[in-house]
Amino acid sequence: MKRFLIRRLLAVVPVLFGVLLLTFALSRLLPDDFASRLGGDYASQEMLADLRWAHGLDKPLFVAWDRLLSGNIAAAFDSQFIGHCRRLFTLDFGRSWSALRPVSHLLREGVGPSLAITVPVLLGSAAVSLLLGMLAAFVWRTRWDRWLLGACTLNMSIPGVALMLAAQYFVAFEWGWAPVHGWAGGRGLVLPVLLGIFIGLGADVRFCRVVLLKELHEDFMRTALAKGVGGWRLYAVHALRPAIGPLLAHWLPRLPLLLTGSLFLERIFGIPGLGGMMVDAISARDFPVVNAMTFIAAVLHLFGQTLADIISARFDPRIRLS
Amino acid sequence: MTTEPHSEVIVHGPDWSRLRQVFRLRGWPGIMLLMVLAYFIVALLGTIGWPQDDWNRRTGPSFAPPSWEHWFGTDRLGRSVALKTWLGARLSVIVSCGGAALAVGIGLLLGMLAGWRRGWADAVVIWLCTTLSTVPRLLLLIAFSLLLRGQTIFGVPMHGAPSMLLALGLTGWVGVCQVVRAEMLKLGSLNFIVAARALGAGSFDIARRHALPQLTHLILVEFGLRVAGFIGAEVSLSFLGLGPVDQPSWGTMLEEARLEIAQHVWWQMTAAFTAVLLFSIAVHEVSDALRDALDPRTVPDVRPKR
Repeated sequence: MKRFLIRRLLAVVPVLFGVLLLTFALSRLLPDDFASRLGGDYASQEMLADLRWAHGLDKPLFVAWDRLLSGNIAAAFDSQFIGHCRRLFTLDFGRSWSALRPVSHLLREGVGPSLAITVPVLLGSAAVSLLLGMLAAFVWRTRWDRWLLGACTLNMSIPGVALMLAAQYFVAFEWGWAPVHGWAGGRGLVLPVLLGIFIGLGADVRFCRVVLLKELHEDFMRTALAKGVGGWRLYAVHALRPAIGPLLAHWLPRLPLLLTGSLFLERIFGIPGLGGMMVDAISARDFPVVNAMTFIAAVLHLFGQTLADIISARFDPRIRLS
Repeated sequence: MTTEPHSEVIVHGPDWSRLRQVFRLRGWPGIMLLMVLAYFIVALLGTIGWPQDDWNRRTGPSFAPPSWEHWFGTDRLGRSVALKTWLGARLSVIVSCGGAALAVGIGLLLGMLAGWRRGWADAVVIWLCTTLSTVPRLLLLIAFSLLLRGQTIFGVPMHGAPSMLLALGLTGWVGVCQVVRAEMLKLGSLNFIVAARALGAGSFDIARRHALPQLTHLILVEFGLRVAGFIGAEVSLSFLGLGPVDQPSWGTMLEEARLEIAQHVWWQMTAAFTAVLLFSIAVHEVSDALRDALDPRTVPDVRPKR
């Protein structure tokens, strides 16, 4: 187990390096560079050069080869990429180009309202899709199964943005069952959360159904049937227990949705969270914000994935660790 | 769903006769296929500018409700919503099909390379796949679209449709690559490939003449899945303001409608919603039927007794 843990954690390193490289490349390939954005339209050449120097943009991209050859190793690695990695790992995401404030301050302000939506949405959709998936596996190959699958396809086909708008118009505005817009807390969250749960449901129900059906065809299920286990116990205990691995592997890597999952909901219902911040950043072409979100989301994803692997290896005796 | 038992190794590819069986004209998938074709025709007509191309023109009073004169009403600037909806099909079809073709092309190339060459090529491709799949799809799409907008690539100015198409294609290939790679690994050890290699056929020849025909069904299935997904993605990107400004898009229409509904103006929202919904349902159903007919990896149909 210990060797497996070490190997699994080491496997994170190249991917993390890839993410750092990706965010670095994205920020350096921008058509308008940071200095000219900061300097504005009327900045002189000297001013731009000053800004580049102040933000380390005149340093070599990866490694200064001439310094490395002359033996000055510390100076050779004083490059833009190393600086980029150091800043990301110390959670220094720089300043937003449009709000002109540190990105970390924006993140801290937006994270509360976002979590107030995404936590119930993630938990709710996990529970509801598992229940419906079990139901679909239970009525497998009957008329009900076909209806459920059809409903899933319909659910997957509805564009989320359009459904949110329609719900806002009818449920909140015309019928007045919920607040239309703005951050009121409590009651204002009910409609966005319900929408968030509903919108991703079709694909998840189908996934749970397939995972459970696969377990239902295993030999140990036949043994359980022969022993006289029947009805709900068969599905809820004997099929669910071995399916926990794939289900966790499906849900845990979705941790970044905690931050980015409510982008459209926040935009439409006027909730001041990270989603709203992202949308503002997009329209202002504010890259540091997008870059910071990308990095944090990738790290959360890696964490969830690794955790899911470790949990499955610990609790599923069928997984060989060698 | 299959009725015959699940076979372990598909050597001679999928059963193409099932395709015709699934898409019988009277069945549900057949109707859906006709609907997809109808959308393609609308897109084509829109591209050649029929019935008219100047959507950005005042045709009546602002916010005129639906009537015989303005079928779907007019928007804030008095433009015809019906014409905008009609021309929106053009962008949706081009972006979703073009993006899917690009994604499948990249995935196929890298997947075949990785599965055939193994070794360091395989390691690099897997590393690329894991790195890209680590970042949530929407964020990656936003980052790529932001990056591409305003640049010029091969003389094509990147705004609107080309930038969305490229962003979707460059981020959506990971799944294709993984599927193709797994299939190539399996194919590489099969007798007819080994025999072709023993006869002295080159890698390129084997890939083109022996491996590619075995992958056709996977390519079709993955293409269908991508198109279905990218329709929604186009709407989302346009809604976020990353779409085109010089041609109508259903996503942009929804973004405009967001500010209109407070004045009880529901027609623009309804028109865009219905247009996306019908197209999306049809493509989803067709791609599902394709997968059921061609993909040997569907759930084996053996029922436990109960």
